[in-house]
Amino acid sequence: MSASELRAITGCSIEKAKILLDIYNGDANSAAEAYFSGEAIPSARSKGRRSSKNQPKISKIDEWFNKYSDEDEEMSDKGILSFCEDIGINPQDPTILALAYEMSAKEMGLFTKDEFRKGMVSLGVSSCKELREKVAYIKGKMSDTNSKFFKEVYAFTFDFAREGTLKSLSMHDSIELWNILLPVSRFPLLKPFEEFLKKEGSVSIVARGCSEGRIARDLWMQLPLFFDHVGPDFEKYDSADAWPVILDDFAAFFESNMKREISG
Amino acid sequence: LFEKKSDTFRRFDRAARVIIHRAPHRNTSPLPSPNIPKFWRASNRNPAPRKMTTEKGKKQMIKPKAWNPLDSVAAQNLWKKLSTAIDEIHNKNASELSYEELYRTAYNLVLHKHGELLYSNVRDSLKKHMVKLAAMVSACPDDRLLEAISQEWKDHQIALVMIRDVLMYMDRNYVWQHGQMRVYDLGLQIFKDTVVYHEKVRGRLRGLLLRGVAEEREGRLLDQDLMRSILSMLDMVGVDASNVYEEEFETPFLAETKTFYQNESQQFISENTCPDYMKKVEARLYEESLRGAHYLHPSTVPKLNFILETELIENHSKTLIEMENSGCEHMFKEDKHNDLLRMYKLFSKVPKALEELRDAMGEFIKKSGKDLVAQQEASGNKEPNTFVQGLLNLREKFAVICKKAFLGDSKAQKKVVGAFEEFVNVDGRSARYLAHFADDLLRSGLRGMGEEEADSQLEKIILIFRYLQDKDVFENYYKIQLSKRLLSGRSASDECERSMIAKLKGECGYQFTSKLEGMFTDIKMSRDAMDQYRKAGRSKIHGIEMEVNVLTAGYWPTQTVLPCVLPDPLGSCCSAFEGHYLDKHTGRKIAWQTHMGTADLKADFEGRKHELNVTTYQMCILMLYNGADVLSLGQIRDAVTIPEQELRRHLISLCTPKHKILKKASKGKGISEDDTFSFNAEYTSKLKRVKIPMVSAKEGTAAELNDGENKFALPSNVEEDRRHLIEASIVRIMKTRKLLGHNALVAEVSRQLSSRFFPQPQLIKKRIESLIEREYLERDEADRRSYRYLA
Repeated sequence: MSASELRAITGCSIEKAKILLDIYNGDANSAAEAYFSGEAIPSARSKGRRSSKNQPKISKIDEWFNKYSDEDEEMSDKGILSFCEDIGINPQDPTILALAYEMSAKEMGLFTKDEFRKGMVSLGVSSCKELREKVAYIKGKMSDTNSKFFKEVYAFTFDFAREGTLKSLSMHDSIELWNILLPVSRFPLLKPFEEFLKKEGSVSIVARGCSEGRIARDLWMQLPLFFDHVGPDFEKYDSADAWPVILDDFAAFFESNMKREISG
Repeated sequence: LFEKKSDTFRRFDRAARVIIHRAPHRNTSPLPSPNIPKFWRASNRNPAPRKMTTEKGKKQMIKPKAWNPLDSVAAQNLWKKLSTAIDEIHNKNASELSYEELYRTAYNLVLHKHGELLYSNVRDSLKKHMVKLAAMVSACPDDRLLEAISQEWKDHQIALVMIRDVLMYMDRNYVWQHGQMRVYDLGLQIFKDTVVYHEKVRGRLRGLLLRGVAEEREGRLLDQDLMRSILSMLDMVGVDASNVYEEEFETPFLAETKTFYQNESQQFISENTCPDYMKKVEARLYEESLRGAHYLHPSTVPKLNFILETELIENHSKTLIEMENSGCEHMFKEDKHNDLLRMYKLFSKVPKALEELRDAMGEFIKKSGKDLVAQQEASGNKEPNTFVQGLLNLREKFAVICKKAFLGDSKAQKKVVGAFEEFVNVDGRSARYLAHFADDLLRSGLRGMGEEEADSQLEKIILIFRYLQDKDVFENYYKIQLSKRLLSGRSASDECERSMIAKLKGECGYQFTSKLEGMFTDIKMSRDAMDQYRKAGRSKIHGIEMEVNVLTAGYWPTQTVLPCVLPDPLGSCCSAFEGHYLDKHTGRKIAWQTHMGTADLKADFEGRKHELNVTTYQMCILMLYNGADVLSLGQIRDAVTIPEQELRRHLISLCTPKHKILKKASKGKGISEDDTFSFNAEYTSKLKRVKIPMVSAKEGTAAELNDGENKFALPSNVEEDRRHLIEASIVRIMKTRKLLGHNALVAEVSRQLSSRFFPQPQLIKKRIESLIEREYLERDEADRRSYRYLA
């Protein structure tokens, strides 16, 4: 089958069709399936992996998925919990967010079949056992908070956790996600920041004219940078810097608290 | 050595000038002095070697023969002749000597290689003479010593000039070739070493000079010519690069001066008030300047001045400024312009002290400002005009001080502005009170004033206005009051109103006043519209004449208040006007502002008829009594739908003891929830037409003024406006710049808005964040400190 035929079926560009055929060794059916499953833009990375390894079989992945899915062909809370258990991770582990990122999942607590397929194909696994072996590798990548991968997962998480058309996250969800994503050992300021948010955050945010007690994308994105920049004791903090105002408030809060602790 | 001391040192008499003449001799070919006979000069100067072989040459051949035998014995003889002559010169018998002969003798000696003999003999002779002189001088008692030295010095100078002239050839040849000191200088040096440095003279001389100055400072007379002569001598004898003047006089003199004024200023300052001290210092400075002019060497004057300024001014400037009951505070308070001027002039000599004086002024202004605020608060914030008047007085006071005492010093003026800005902008008080002040002026204060006087009054507002940082707060209050003036027709003069606006426009530009001007236009347009309406014959419906002001939304400080329920005939009046107006201006919308209007009501009381001038709300309430005698609060509320607070406010003003139109069932000032109101038919008044004052409205403003901590906080609508202005400014900037760093953006926004108010950087940052959230901006991916405009 030629690239132009694949193009006719999928409606993708001729270049893409060629690449797809190349990946699936001329198997147009697999290629078309991969295209429709959302895995239409194979990156160089995944291409390399595929050429060296056996391709994960879509059918096998589907079978695997069905173990957890409900009648709507979706993996919801319960399914996800047992999925986590099977691959040996805690549902509170950042790995699950990394997996969601690989799947380009749209909604928290719910994986669709297409998302699952895409994620597993991208990871190059087709069974629980294979994924279990991969978990340590993903964990390793996530633990390096300076890596591009981590940053992408972190950025992804905001949209992933966003509800519907809302442009911000609730404070409660944000704090939980931060706890999952940001290891305290590297971000010792996270705990004081949470304390600040709980005590004054809602007041502060409301006073700033934002929607009540919600975390905007800008703040979400700037927070790890802020922690990294100022250091554990605000040594490099500069109030004239371009941080979101709430972080300036946090700095003031932190300082006054420190003073109180020292004087008290 | 001497040329540098030329013009200004002219007083150092002849000798100096003679010496200056001498200067060219040093390097030029022999040039005889003017009184040497001509023939001498010619034959000597042009030996004309070619003519040696001619007849004249023969004659010349003989001469060397005659001179040849000039051995040392002959030389000694020749010297003896000169030696006697030198003695005679010293004895002032020079007139009997032949200059030409002596010159030739010296010339011959030098020519025949006896220069050394001549030079050393001259030196010895001078020394011998000086030793004699020194013995005589040193024998003089103290009171004669200076005079004696001065006299001998003068004689010595004259003698030296003559000796020098005689030995001129030696100076030009022998001295020059052997690098010796010229005769004149030699004479000075020997004079110095022998006479001035004589062990019985040196110490006494120094002591006498210093004592002379010290006594003069005490007020005793001093022979200034003698001083000058001695000091110039000290200066001149320092030919061999020894600093005789400095060592023997200047250094100890300056040291004494320093101690003297240290002690004196200490004493002065402890005994005198600040102005008296300054007067004394002024006198001392004058005295010392005379001293400098009369007998000190010019190079001493700056050193002396430095000591005087340090000891008399700089070291005491702080004490003077802070002196109790007579220092700066006192002078500022009492407007002691002359004393301040004296201080300014004295302190101008010491930049540091001058700066302290300016600082003291700044502090005084700030303190006065704080006092004003405190007074205002003590009076319960009831007299905003007193406060503004206080500000104006303070400003005027320091304008005068700057002009009269500080001679328009620009730094001082800046200090005044800075000090005012500091305390004026502490809170919103000044802006608010200033607007209030302006309101009073424009309402009534300017009545009966000439155009110029009114203008100067308004100009005063602008003077304070300039100090305000938050000009928008002023604008806000000004607008509220302007609207009241315009709507109630209470403005004193249209011209003044316009002139005020023009002034504000001049300060802050077109944008600042566009809304204010819009308000004027509205009023004018409304008048025209009403004229037309009346002409159309529709203004009277059901016997009600209605006057409408059409206000452009956004220009006026309107709140969005839902209209109350208007009693029946009025409702149709409104819709009639609405129909008429919208016919002419399609696409417009009319929202009735029932909380701003007034009405005249004809009321029948038992005694007589009255015409009541009330607010629209009150009119609505009163109209209800056409159908009932007693109404409860609930009934009224339901019938008119006036906002609760306003309803109570308007009701209570109808129940005041003076204008008891309604009788309230409960006692006291408040209105209880189940209160009832009945019509008071017994109400009477002397006047036929009664204006019911809004008592509670006044109380309302008072309450507003005393509204706890936040009484001068930013009004919420100003805050809102600021948000919009900042965002608009950010977007404007980013639209052109596309990508801009955080700090640059904040700075640019501050700059753009500074004519209206001073935006806090945090406030700008907040607006940036809000714009990021609404996706007008994004952070640059590479640099989180930069923003990118999203089109």
